[in-house]
Amino acid sequence: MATEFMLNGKPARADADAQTPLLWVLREDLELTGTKFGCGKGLCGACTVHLDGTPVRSCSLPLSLAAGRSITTIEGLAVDGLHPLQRAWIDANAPQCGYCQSGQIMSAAALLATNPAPTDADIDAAMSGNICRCGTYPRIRIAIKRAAELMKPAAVAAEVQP
Amino acid sequence: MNNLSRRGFLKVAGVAGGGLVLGFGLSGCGEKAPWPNLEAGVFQPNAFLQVRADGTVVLTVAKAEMGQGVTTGFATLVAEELGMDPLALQLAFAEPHPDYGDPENQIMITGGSSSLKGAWTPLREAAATVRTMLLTAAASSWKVSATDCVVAGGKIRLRDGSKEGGFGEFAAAAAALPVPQSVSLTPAAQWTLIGKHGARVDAAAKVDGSATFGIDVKLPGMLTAVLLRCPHQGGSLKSFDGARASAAPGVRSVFACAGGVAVIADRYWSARSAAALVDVQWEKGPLAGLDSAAIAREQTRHLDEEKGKVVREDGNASTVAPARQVKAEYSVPYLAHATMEPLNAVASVTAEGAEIWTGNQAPDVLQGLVARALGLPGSKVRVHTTLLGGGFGRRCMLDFAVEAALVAKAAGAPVKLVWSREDDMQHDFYRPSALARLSADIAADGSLQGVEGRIVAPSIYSLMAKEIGPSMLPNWMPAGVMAGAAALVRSSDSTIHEGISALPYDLPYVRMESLEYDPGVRSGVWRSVGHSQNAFFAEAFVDEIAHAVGEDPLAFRLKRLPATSRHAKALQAVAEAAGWGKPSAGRVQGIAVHESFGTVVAEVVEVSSNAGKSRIERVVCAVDCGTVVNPDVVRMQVESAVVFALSAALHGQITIREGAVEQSNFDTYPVLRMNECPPIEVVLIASDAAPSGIGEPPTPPLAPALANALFAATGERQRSLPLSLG
Repeated sequence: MATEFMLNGKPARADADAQTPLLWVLREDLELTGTKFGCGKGLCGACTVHLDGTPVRSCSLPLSLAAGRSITTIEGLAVDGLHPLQRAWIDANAPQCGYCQSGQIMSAAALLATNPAPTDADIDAAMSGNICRCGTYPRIRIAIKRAAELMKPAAVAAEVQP
Repeated sequence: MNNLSRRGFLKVAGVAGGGLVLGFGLSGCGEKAPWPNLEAGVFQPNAFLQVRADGTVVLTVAKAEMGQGVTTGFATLVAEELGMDPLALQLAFAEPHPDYGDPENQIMITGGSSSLKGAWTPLREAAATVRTMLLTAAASSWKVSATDCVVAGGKIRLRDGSKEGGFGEFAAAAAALPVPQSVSLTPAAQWTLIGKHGARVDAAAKVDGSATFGIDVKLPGMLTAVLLRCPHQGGSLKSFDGARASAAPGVRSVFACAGGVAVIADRYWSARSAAALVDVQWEKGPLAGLDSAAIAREQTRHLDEEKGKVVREDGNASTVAPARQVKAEYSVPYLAHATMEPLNAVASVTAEGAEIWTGNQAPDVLQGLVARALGLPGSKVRVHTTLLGGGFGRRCMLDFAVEAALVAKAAGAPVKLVWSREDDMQHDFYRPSALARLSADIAADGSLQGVEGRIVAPSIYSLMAKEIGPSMLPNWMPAGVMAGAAALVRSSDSTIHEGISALPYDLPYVRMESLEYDPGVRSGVWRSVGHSQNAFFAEAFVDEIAHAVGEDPLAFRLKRLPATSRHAKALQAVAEAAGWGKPSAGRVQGIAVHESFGTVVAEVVEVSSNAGKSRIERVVCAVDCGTVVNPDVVRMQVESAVVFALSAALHGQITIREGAVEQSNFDTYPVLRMNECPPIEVVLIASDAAPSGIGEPPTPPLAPALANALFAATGERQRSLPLSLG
């Protein structure tokens, strides 16, 4: 039986078994390979996507739990062009091998969505579930702070909308 | 002028559409097979640089991009000579060909931190030759002197600005010209990119999910495979019952292959779930009785009883008995690479030959091993190298690609073989465990009489020779031939003692012995190889000596180094940047310096302590890696190596039980996370020497600098990795 959900703002459906982790449905059935397999146990964060705006480890989330919900992946993070985090990531030369970066950015996006001015401790708390073996942590920290700055005017503009 | 004729392997030819293809062999010898990216029936030589009719400049990169920034480095060298934006280059990864071999070893291996060093001159010459020929063609077309034409902004221009044209406009004409025998490289004073350019050429694709790694490759009709392997190293498949697995949804077949049991399904999850249903019995094999304690006992026995090979003996042993001795034993455990992208490979094997797509650090070795496994000539195996989700030395070993080829052949369909994290952790080629016994003799007046050491470890290169060496043999020659070669390699393998036998200090007497002991655990190259442990042994022990003779650890080192040496300069630079000797209140410092891969790195680790717990507050690094091509990429590599080394120094430990690895995932093999990552400061020491390595050299000094800082904090000397923060 097909499972239906919203994917990056559009309706999507998948025929995979309901117990299949969302990660593999995204990568294999829906051909969105930006979300990565790292550990299969929710330990490394490479597979992080948003489920109704909340960061989740898609390697450990059965497809059934996505039914009727809204999923955002790295491919759908930016509404138009680049998300401020992606811009800041490039400016800070954050990526190295790049494999964990989708998950890192998705975790960071969830952080900034609820905390527009994160402290170092906030960043530690939000980002310590995402492993990077290349050691991009110092630049991720810089990029998150830079993105928070970039997002400020937009946030202000949004507030003054009627 | 750089004379090209001495290489004699510059090749030029037209391509379809009137482009210019120009290639340099970095290894340089004799006549070669055509470059591998030929289209059927068309003679279209491959090379490092192509200028297409549409003006696109294609740079073929013969090294693996595993995050170290090699694509950015190579693009910068080429773009400097071509007067263009490095980000405008189109990049491709080279398929195996002798012209792509590393100048040091003629293999297409990405290792030894050699990429930029090896490409430094040949790649700039290749680009300068393209430039020279394009300018000559443009000058001819415009009826001016070539010296009136320049490249700038990715175009060819008349100096007075009155004319300009794209590279593509002159590519066909340039292809018809004779190749110049020598070309001028852009002088350092005119560099606009080298030493300055920072933006990574691969960043954009790595922030939007579009970068393609091996695990992202998809072929029509492709199936997914997982392989069950014997958990006991050296063991084998005894028997299996795949009936339940075969009946599981989505499963195509279950069969014995590549020493294990392959489960083939439409999708990964079907294969992985079904693999749990295979009832499999393993023969534990020759290492069934091996555990970490037994390895440690045998290492100790070697140091107690076995004769070592003297790898260094300098100066004169004192004839006066020492008044005091500092004696210590240092040890390190096995370590996994744990690249973020679990190993994987896509293979398609047909009657025509084989094709492999995978992130790997040695495509020609891969080609040879797959050819041998399939009984094909190397020319029938194509290798497509993707981006690597981390390498660190693991992807120099190509077991995963050979497995994929064997499984695909047996399955009769293109197959993507995907290792789980557990597979990856338990079937690595580990940084081996090692043990060192060190002593220093101190005279009655406090002067140092000499330092001696004995180190026991496996010979990594002889183990590698057995694993990857057969790729260099013709198929008719048995792989066992490499056992003889491995023995030769063993007798001269520097990995056991590299980094400690070269102790740089001026001492009255130094004697170092290496002892080879291979417990049989799969071992391989791990970021900085033997230096990864030997710098810890050497620089932590030097710290012990400094304390024993009552000298400041920095002053002790500087006193025994020539003032103008790179080591001394790096120490002084890091000391100044870190404020050596005057850390802020509540903090203490540790220092270490180490040379590897032609680069000298000094590091200071600063720690604070509170209620018996230490915390790493900052790491400061000073690096002399010769000419810096991309300063920010170098800084990234220093940060990367420091984080990698911190993971190992604080957490890394692979243990063995019944010949099997006990750790399986990031819960049992923790690595450094954001909340543990200290600020890392980097000082680049100005140099006009040719570039030396950077991917590995900042790794070795971290563990000793940290151990030395923890000693300063606690008064307790930790001599085994991983270190405890209390």
